Amino acid sequence: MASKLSLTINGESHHVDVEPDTPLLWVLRDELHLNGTKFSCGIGVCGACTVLLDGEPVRSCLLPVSAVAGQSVLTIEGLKTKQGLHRVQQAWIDADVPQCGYCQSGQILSAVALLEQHPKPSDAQINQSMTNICRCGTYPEVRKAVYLAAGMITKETAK
Amino acid sequence: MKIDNLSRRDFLKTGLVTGGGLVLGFSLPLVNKAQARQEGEERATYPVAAWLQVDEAGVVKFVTPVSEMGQGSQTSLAMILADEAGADYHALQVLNPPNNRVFNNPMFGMQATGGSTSVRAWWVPLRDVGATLREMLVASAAKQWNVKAAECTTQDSYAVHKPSGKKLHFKDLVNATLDMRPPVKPKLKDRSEYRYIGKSLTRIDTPAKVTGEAQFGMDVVLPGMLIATVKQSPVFGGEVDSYNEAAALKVPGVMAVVPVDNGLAVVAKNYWQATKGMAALELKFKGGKTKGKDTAAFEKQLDDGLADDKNARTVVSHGDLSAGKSAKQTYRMKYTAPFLAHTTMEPMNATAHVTDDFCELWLPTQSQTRSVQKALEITRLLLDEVKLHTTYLGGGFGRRAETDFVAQAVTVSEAMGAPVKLIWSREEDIKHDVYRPAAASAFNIAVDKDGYPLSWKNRVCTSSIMQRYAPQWIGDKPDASMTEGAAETQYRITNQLTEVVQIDNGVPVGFWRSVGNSLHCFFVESVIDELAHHAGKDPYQYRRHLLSDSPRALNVLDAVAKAANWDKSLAKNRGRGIALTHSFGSYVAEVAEVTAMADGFKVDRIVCVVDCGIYINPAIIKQQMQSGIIYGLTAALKGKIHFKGGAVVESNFHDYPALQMHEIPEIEVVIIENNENPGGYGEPGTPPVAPAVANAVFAAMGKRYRSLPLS
Repeated sequence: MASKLSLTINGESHHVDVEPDTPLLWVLRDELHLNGTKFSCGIGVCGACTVLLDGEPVRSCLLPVSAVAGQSVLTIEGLKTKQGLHRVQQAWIDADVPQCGYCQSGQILSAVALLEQHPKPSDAQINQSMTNICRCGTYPEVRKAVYLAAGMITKETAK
Repeated sequence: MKIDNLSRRDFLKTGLVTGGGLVLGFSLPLVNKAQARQEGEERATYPVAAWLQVDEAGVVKFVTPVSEMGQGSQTSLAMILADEAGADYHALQVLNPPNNRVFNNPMFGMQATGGSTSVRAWWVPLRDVGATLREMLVASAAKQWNVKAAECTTQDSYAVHKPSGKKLHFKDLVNATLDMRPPVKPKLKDRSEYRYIGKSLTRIDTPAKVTGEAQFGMDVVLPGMLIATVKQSPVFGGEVDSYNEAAALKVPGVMAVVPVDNGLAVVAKNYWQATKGMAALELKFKGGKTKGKDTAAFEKQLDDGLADDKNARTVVSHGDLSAGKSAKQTYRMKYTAPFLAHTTMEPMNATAHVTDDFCELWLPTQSQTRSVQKALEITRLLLDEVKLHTTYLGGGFGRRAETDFVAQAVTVSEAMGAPVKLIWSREEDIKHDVYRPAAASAFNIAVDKDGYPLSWKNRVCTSSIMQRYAPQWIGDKPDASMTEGAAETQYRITNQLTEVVQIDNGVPVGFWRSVGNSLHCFFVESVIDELAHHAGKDPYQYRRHLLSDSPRALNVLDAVAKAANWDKSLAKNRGRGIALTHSFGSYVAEVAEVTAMADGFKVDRIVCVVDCGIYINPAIIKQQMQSGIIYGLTAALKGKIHFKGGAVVESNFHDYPALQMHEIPEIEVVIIENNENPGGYGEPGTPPVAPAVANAVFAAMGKRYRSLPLS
């Protein structure tokens, strides 16, 4: 039975009428057409579906939408503001990170959460948080972009 | 209604030949004119709008002729067009290509991205397109100004009258070019005039890929669109036995159950409903060619194949094969490698809208021509009634050169009378791949008194990709993909026999990044290493001796040994391995460093040197070498597809894992500078990594791996 739910996505209120067990991923994509959050494994292993729930990174392919009510969801679409790109997004451009790009929304949001918790992360902390799978092999550039966003290296070193 | 068999007609037209290598891997004499100009010098107009669009706001957009699957080719080709046409690269937009003959890959004669051909196939023809556009835009401006075209040029998306400094933006010039006669022989710029080519410019797709705006096949949204998912017979070649349609239709949102070629599709309003409908379907299959077979059965089949003298076909035979008879030492080795899945991050998907008189496709595809052809076969429409939009691809690696997911979307849309986005689950994606073929390779090598090969005999047993993909391209000889990297190496081997026994076991096989090289580079480079150690010689020096006839290969080998500090001694539990490939028109050599551990080994570092001739964007070359290395390393360390009961065992990233960030070694890439013709760089980084690591493991631990994965 579908039920009416009220969600806060990127600071905006949305009302959806879906089965409560529908994963947040599919509500974002199929109901709200916020397609920046990606489907890749459906079992919470790869991280392509990562969004921030009250600032915490979660795998939205496993999160039933009913569990999200009353919390604030941040997707890749919500990072950019009127002032411009988020500094993590800018770092991703400066380090020219993406190849196919499909995993990058998840990578970026994982990095945003990491830097909130550890503004100058160690390699070990990066390894622990950035478990998102990338089949193109952008890992070295992802690491550089995290350092860059943290202000630990300069743009010239990142390239 | 006539069905246009586009790919066969184009093949015959351009006279593709199959001798000397795999159609997706060999170097053909390049077609020296853009496809658009092949129709005759006398054409009255030029397809300007196919290549160049400028909107009201003055945004210049180029359509690139290739798909973008992460390999950066759209950026490289946009740089070529921007340089020749005189457009401002930094304000450029790139559009994905629709189906159009002008985008036919000059090496294939059809619209396809693969075989690491994007830059090397388009290097000459695309500069021709850019130069043609430049001269036509200049002619348009000269006419408006009433001046001589020779006094004008283009720069930063303007035509400029050099004596007076007058400027007109492309947006004020393009319309007049649509009816103009194109120049017969446009003048290409001298390479010294290029502002972009050769530089590490930021990729043109990067901004859209950091904001989530880049549209992949999975992201297509259309009015009235339905969403479907499929389940296919787990046993290859099997068919539907029974299902409970009523149970599926009871699931909220589920609209229909539609048969597809080897299974069923469930159609709903959204993907979640479709998967729940599929789960409720109680779908059972029967039969199939691989029924009852498991991994051991397929491995035994390869082993038996190696002993099958009757069906061994000669691929290469030269020199005196009896030369080894008198040798003091003969070595026999048997190598094997498993089936591999692709696991692109974006699972297989396709969107189709079929009506009585029209078929529109939105595809993350590497093969526009074959996709259109597949749609024509199913719908019986005419060629000009099919329109294809290419989206970004969330990884390709050869998997999206296929049309199975296209056929399903077309079939379901036709049945539903509505646009349908058809999405595979990850489980379907892994269990219904076209796998890198498994192979076994037996070597019988007699060596001379110094330990160098006196006679080299190699028999390979494997499956043929072309048998299924394009049988008309095989001809009399065995499918070259089965032995590429084995039949021809860079080493001076005077007396050589390479044979292949082709088997068909019902497991679908296809192009997996670097194709046959992914197998044979591991086999050959490991064997060379074994011979070197038997001869008591350093593996780098041993190879040097055999590369005396191959200067470019020798050069990359020397360069990688230097970059890796080959002669510097390592701690006792550490080792280095070296490997070389010549594939896709390029030369790549890699050195791996590993440390022996209590329960295995750790890969610390990979040093890579690439000679890909003239290159467009060095940052992209390095990125692609790194990409090929990490892709190959995942396979080398973890990759194996198993079978049980005729079905694939693996299902998702938990049991068919990909390397994660904390598992990758340091990677350094050096690019050789020269003026050779452009070579490919999407694939050649992959073949040497498995043997470099295996050879390093031998050096560190004395353990020789003769099969993959190295676990």
